[in-house]
This record gives sequence, C-alpha cells and structure tokens, in this order.
Amino acid sequence: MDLSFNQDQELIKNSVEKFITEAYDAETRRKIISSNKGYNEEIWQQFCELGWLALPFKEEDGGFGGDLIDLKIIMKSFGNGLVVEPYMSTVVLSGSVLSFCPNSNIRSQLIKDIIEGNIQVAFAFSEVNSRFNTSDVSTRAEYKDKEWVLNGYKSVVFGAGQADYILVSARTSSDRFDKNGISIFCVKTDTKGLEIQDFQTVDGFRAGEVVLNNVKISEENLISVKDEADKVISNAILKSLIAVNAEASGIMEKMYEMTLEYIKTRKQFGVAIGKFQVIQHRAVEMLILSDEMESLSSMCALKGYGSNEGIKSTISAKINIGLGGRKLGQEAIQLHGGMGVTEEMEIGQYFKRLTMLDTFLGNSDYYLDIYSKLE
Amino acid sequence: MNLNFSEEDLIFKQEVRDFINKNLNPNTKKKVEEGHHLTKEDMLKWQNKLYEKGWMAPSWAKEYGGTDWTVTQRYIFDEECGAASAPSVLPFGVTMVAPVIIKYGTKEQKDFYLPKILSTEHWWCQGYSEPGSGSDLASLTTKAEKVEGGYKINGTKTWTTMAHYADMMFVLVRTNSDCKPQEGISFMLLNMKSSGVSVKPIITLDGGHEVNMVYLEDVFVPEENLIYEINKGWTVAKYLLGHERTSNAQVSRSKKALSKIREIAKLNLNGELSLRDDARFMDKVTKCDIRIQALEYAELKAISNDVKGIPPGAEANMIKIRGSEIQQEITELVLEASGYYAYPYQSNVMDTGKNEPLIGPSWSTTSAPKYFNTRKTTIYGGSNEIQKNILAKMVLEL
Repeated sequence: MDLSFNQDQELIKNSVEKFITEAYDAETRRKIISSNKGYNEEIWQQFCELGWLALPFKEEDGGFGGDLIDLKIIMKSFGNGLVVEPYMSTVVLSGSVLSFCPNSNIRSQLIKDIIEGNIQVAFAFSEVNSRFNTSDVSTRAEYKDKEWVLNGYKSVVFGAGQADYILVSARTSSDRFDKNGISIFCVKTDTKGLEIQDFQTVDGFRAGEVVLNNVKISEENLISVKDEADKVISNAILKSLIAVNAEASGIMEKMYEMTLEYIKTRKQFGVAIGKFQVIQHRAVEMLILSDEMESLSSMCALKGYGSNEGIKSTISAKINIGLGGRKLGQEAIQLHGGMGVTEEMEIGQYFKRLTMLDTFLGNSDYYLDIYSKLE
Repeated sequence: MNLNFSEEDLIFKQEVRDFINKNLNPNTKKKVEEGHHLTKEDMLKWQNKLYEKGWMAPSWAKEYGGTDWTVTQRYIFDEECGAASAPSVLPFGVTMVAPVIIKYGTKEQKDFYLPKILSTEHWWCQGYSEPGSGSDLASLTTKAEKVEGGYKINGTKTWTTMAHYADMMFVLVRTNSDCKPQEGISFMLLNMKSSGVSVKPIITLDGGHEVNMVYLEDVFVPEENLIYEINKGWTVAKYLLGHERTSNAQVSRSKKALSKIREIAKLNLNGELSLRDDARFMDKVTKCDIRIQALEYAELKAISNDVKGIPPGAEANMIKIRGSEIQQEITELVLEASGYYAYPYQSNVMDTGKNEPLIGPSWSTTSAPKYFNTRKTTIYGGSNEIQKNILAKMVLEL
C-alpha cells in the first residue's frame, strides 16, 4: 500500500496547479461567466495541449488511459481554482457515456473530436419530474422509415447551450420508470426540431432546457445497445461522481484556507478574530471537514466504481458533499461575516458551487436512500 | 394562562382577514410568497393601506398612533399577515427608531417624526455597522464634531439596508474618543438628502441590491437631531437592539413558508413517489416545525411582556438566534425540494418576479438565491456569536 502520488501524478498535479495560478484568476473567471458562451475557447485549446481532454479516455480510443486517481487530481485542482469550463459536462459526463457505449463510427469520431478540442458535448438525462432518477424517462424515440424520431423534453441539461452534440436518453420500449427500454441517441444541436433554451446556472456554469419536437436522425445515431442503456448511464454517473467528489474536496480545501486567512486578518475587539476560542474551534472543525472530504474522495478514486465496495465508497463521498460540505460552506460564510454574503468576495463564489454540487447528479438524501439498500 | 380566542378575537380575526383580502395587491402577494424582492412602490402601497386603517404600528401606544391591541390581537394580526403573504412593514421606522423616539425623544421630535413614520413620508435606514466595526460595534469611528448649531459628520457606514430609498438614517457616531468606547457614542437622526451623503450599492450573493455603503463627508446634522444626551448613544442603541431582535423572529412567515414546503412536497417531484412520501425529507420538515413551535411560544411571551410594559431581556437574544436559524433551515428545505430546478440563474427574477419566461416551477426559481442570501440572518442584527456572548455574560454570568 502506498498512498503517495507517483511521478506522473505529480506532473499532472503540478501542471493543473500551474495553469490555475498563472491563467485562471478570479477576474478571468468572472469574465468567462459573463461571456456569451460561458467558456473560453483559448483556454479549452490549452486544456487540449496539456492533454487533459485526452486523459480519461482509454488508449485504444485515442486517449491517454489515465486512471481515476488522475481524474481526481485534475478535478480537485479545478475545484481549488473554481474552473467553470465545461470539462465536467463534455469530458467527464459525456465522455464517460461515450466510453461505455459499444464501438461505432460515431462514437470514435466524437471521442476523437473531444480529445482534439473540436467539440463540446452535453448529456441530457434528466426530465421535468424525474428528479435524480435516471430511469424516469418519458422522452420517446420511434423507428420510422429507417430513421429515429425523438419527442420529449429534457430539463437542466448541463452544457447544453455550449454543445455541438447532445447525448439524449430516450425510451425505445417499455414505460416510464422502467430500467429496461432506455437507449442513448446522439443529436447534433443544429438538427431540425431540437431547441435549446440556454441559461446561466447559479454557480456560474451553463445549462439548458432541451425540447425535442419530431427530431429525425439517422439509424447510426443510436449509440447504445437498443433498450439497454441503463447500465451505461449508471456507470457514467458513478464515474462522474468520483470527479464531482474530487471537485468538492478541492473547493472545501480552498474555502478552509480562505477562511483561515480571513480570521487571521479581520480584527474586532482590538485583535484578529482568530484569537477567539469559539472561532478557533470552528476553524479546526472546518479543517477536519475538509480533510474528511479529501479522504473520502481519494478512497473512492482508489476503489473505483466497478465493485460493490467501490460503489459504496463513491456514494459515501457524494453524500458527504451534502453533509460535511454543506456544514463547511455555511461556516465559511458565517466566519466571513457580512463580507461572506457579498458577490464581490471569492468565498461566496466557492460557496455557491459547493452548494450546487450536492444537487448535481443526485443529492445526499437520494444517495442515503440508495446506500441504505445496498448489501 | 390560556391560548383560547374569545368571541371578540374571532371577530377581529375576520376583520383582519377581510382587510388583507381587500387591500393586498395580488402581484405583491405573489412576490412575497415566492421570495422576490419588493420595490419601494410595492411596499409603499401596502404601508399606505395599513396607515389609512390605523394599523401601521400595532406595538406603539395609542397616543402616538398605535393600536392598543391585546397580545392576542397582535398575535392574530401577525399570523394573518404571514399566512396571507402580506409584506412585512419596513422595520427601520416603525419597530426600530420609533420606540427610541418614543422613549428618549423630546416632544418636538415625537411630534415631528412619529407621524411621518406612520405615513411612511419618511423612509428610514440604520447607520450602525462600519467596515471596521461589525460585531465590535462600539469601536465605530464615524466622527461627529461640534459646530455651530449642530454637528459635522465624517465616516463610512456599511450594510445599510434600503439606504438607496431612504429619506432619513438613524446613526451612531463618535462624539468622544478619550473614554471607554461605549461612553463616547451618540445617537443622531441624519437627513439622507443632506449634502455630503453618498450611497453605493453592495451586491449580495443572490445578485440583488438591498444593502449599501453610505459615505458621509462633512454632513451637517442640526443640534435638534440628537436623541437623548450627547455620549449616551450606546444606551439608546441597546434599547433599540432589544426591539430589533424580537421583531426578527418572523414566526408567522416561517409557519407559512413551512406549509408551502408541505404543499410543494405533495407535488410529483420525485418520480414514482412524491417528496411527501420521503421520510428523510419530511423528518427535516417536522424538526423545523418543532423549532418553530417553540419559537412561537417564546415570541408570544415576549409580546405579552411588551404589552405589560416589561422590556425584552435575554429572550430577545434567544429568539434572534433560533429565529435566524429557522429562516435558514427553511431555505435549505426549498433548495432540496427544487432538485435540478434550483440551478437556473434568472437574473432580475429576484427583483421583478416576472418579465422573463421562468425555467422550472415558479417557487423553485428563487430557491438558490434565497438560500445564499439568507445566510445573512445569522450575521446581521448582531451575529449569533455576539448574541451568545451576551447571553453567556448577562444570563449565565460567566
């Protein structure tokens, strides 16, 4: 057993940290958030050159074959620097869906284009009333005249407005809620009948409501095995959770550090407020919370999502975003006092993202329920 | 001791209900219900209706334009306003500076200001916190120098809610630096239209504009705008804080918000089951409800004492702590209920409550901004840490 990074992992860590420090300050991020696209094309090309877009893909798919520890390292640093580029939606979420789909020309082309930084891809899995249940699919695909015709409504699709392609989960047989009968289709965003209402999310990302109104696509755009996409979706989500957990741990570490800095400098009653025992104990609690998240995040990256043990570990860390993460976030704001609730202070930007990561891909109550039913 | 309503109380309850139905603008009601920011005009409309009816200041003595209501009537009024999602009356005039003027003001001050507070001719804001003086309020440095006929004021106030709308500010200023900090502070009334006053918005985490920085440069305040005595401002401020903290309880509004959450939970938000069937979620709702019930009794006790003329003591601090926590808990529950529909950031939605096509159900559009913004309740009005310090010292005598 060795819990230290190897040389390659150190290299990845250093390169992401270097990028954040040199090229991704708060002002840069704020400009990106308020820009039309919500991400920066030049920065995306940098991601490409640095190999981060290729990292999680297998070598046989043209990727670097990085493991979950590598992914964790990148995502933790992205959390630390509060990176809002669509890495999660294109590379992690959609990339995982594609990886788990069977080989096909479209699949190969999309993965190649992602790796080369040519396209953005969004994965549309949630619907108006589905909440976090990915088997709750009412969007339908019907096969007519050698074409697939899609009808339905996908809600809060992360990265939809930025995407060139949307991977849509749709029902090809059976009824709403059934795990069987779900398939995944690849739809180019300029296809007739597809409409996207793009919006900014409260944490500085982009998402969209996706309406499919008689969207006609050719046969090869069915990219999963027909009726059997459920496993692809659940594995893609589990893999993404490992990335989400890492991002949360990076955010929490940063929030702890910023708060520590603040209580050392903010003076009241003639001394730095960090001199007060009540503040000290709470800051120590934040350190422990941050450390716990890091532990849970590392553990799930090591165990992976392929075993029952690994799934438990992955879910545990995700649940903790809603427990320890929420606690740490709230404490960070409280210890910043009034400054903590201003738009201007960085701590609040981190707080928003951390808060929303609890909801992302299923909140703590949802996974508590799943965990309690696991053997 | 009893909790029963008499025949008269029931008649009064119906009267209040009818009044609200008749006078509350439906658009304003909707904004309050869904947590949007109100415009000055929205608030003025409602306050004018209350004023015409003579219900603007239930807690004041009758001779100043109050109501002389019993505890029960005040409870009923709050309850009905909360249940109907009527706007809260802006506290800075009626519940903050007015009790101070009534207790410490001269006859001239009472005659001049109280009617203008009742009619909202004067819109008030509070000049307490400064960039370097938050929890340690007594360290404030905004300085008032004696000049002919009054004082010249220089300094910066912050977190000043609604200063961008205000006509008047009650302000704490330093009038003596060679003594214990608390003993060199005075309480004054400052006209926001005076030369040298400038207001700069502070944008909060929800993207909204409620609070401001207020810069005071050589602002003249006439002698007659000093309240009580020079260097006795701390005594006045402490009296005011007692009133502010009990009015922070927001019990009827929290009860209403919780019942709204129960309704939301019945909707089919969770696939095959509704949130109403989710024990994990509903237990949190119930636990919050239990805390509200305890707070409600505590608030009633405080109102009961107030009617008897007993000033609020330790319970004011306790009510502030729990009341603020409950308000935060409620926003957490709505955020959780919203699921993915907490994500869309709909700029302006907090301010207008309309204009743009909404993404998701209307109750969820403000859920995240509300959660972010409501972090303030445990910070403002004397942070909860300060409340605990006060309780430890004054009640526990530690």
